[in-house]
Amino acid sequence: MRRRADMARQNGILLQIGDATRMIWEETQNLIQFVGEVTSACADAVRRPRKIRWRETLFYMNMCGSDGLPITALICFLTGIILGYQCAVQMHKYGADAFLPGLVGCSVVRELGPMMVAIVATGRAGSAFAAEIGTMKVSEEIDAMRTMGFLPERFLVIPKLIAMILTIPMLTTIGDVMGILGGLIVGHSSLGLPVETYYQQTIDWVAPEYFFESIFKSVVFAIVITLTGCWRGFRAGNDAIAVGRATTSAVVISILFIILCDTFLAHVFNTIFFG
Amino acid sequence: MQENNNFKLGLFVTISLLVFAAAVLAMGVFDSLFKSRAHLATFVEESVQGLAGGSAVKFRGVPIGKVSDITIIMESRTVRIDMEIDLSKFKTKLGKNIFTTPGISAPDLYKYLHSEIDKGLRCRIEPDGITGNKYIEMDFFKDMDTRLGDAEFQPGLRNGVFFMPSTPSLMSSLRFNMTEILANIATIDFKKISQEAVALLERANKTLDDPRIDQLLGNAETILKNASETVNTLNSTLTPEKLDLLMTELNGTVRSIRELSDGLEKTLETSKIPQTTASIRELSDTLSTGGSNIRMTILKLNEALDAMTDLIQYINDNPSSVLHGKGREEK
Repeated sequence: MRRRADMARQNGILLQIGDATRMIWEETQNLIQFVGEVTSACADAVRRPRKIRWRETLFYMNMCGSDGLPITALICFLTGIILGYQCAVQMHKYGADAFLPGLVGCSVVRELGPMMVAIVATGRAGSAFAAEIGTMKVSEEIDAMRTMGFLPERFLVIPKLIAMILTIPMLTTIGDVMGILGGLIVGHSSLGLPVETYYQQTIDWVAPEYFFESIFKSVVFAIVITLTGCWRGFRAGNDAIAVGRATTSAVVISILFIILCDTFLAHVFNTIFFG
Repeated sequence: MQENNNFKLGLFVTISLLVFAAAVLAMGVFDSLFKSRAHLATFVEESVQGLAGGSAVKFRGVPIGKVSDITIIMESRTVRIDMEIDLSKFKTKLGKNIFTTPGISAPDLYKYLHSEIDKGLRCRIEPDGITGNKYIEMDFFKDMDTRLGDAEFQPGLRNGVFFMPSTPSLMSSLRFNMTEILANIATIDFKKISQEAVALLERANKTLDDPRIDQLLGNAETILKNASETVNTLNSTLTPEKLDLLMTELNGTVRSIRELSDGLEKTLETSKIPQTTASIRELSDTLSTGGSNIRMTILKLNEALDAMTDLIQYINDNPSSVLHGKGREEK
């Protein structure tokens, strides 16, 4: 009896692993298919730009950009302060105060700025996209669109994608500057570095290439957030709980993909461009 | 669809674009379009680890440009470092307003560098703090070695690039010297020294095992004990009071000696030693002359005594001679 129970338990674990693998495989297939559909919709939008819903695009720009600016700027500013303070305490022990502007500048511009903006955008826009499309799925609006011959990907995803690709780099630029400002305040108040010196050191250390790396990353993150949010919305079930689940998974998967992309891009930039 | 707030969106886009433009301008992205630059190059024969495109180029500590390219010249096994120099960093003289004084032109800079090279201006790779990064320092290193043998390393303007001579970095020189020191150390025969040291230790052990050493040590111990006892005795005998008394007496004695010495000095001063010595010398001469005279007198007296003795002997032999006088000698 005991042996049979052990076998049943082992089978249960194996079944779970198998189920998870099958689910991951199906989701991956579905994601690839979704990416393909969005790519096709993008190509169609490039061919016929008049068909793009510009009014919705502006609305999403407002929602993701203008509305998200204060919180994004504040978070980046505080991140700069935290990073600056932690570095100042440690670097002061070794008399390396002069390197604080370079460390904060490079860290914020190359990594933390785009990353923090992307995470905030995931929480704001990615979840909103998933919830919006998920709700449309529940109310069978998506099915209705398909029935009427509309392509939901082009109709719903393209305006969001354009809005995110335009606004996230703008937010990242402001986030980078706010992060550097946070470091400057710490450098000036804690280490007594003159503002002029801090500024000059930052300019010396932060190369223009780093700034463009930041912009490039933000574009990639914008695509990842939009696609993940919309994909999870389209994959939502047909009940009310499914919308919440789609929103949660959109945020979690977006952050995971952002970090994966950042790892890959960090490697690419360090080995190919700055190597 | 909700109504769009165009003002908010416009404000956001405007702020973003302004920040973007300010960041781009501050980072000097367009500097290469507006700033006039000169091109320098130098050759080094050492590792350029830590030096990269964009590393600073400094003239006596003043940042004047950046490294634009680093290439390996296979034929000469050297590394060529190309540099871009910001000409606005060089001013011919201090004007009324340093910020409005224009920088010099590239030919002027090349001419200036040529004249400074004769005075010892060289390029050298220097470490930039503790980061491991390096930069090019242009300074006067007159006593340093410089590679100028080959024509391609000669300073001067060729193909629009001014070639600067370089000198080995401090680390490179240090490494070279360390290698030499290690090579010298390698020539030392440590095996032989070790063998000799072992032999010496064996001999020392044998010597220490000698029974006479024990006896010697015993004697030394006795001597030390005696010395210790003597010191103790002295300590007990020479109490602080006695020592004070002794010191007082010694001081008195020294004082007396000093007084005596002073008195003697005075006496010697008043005794006219030279005159006295001269008189003594004269007296000595006189005594010497008198002695000679006395010696002569004594000799004459001796002769007289001999004659008297002969006379008395003759009278004793011939008493009649007193009456008859001296007779004729018989023929």
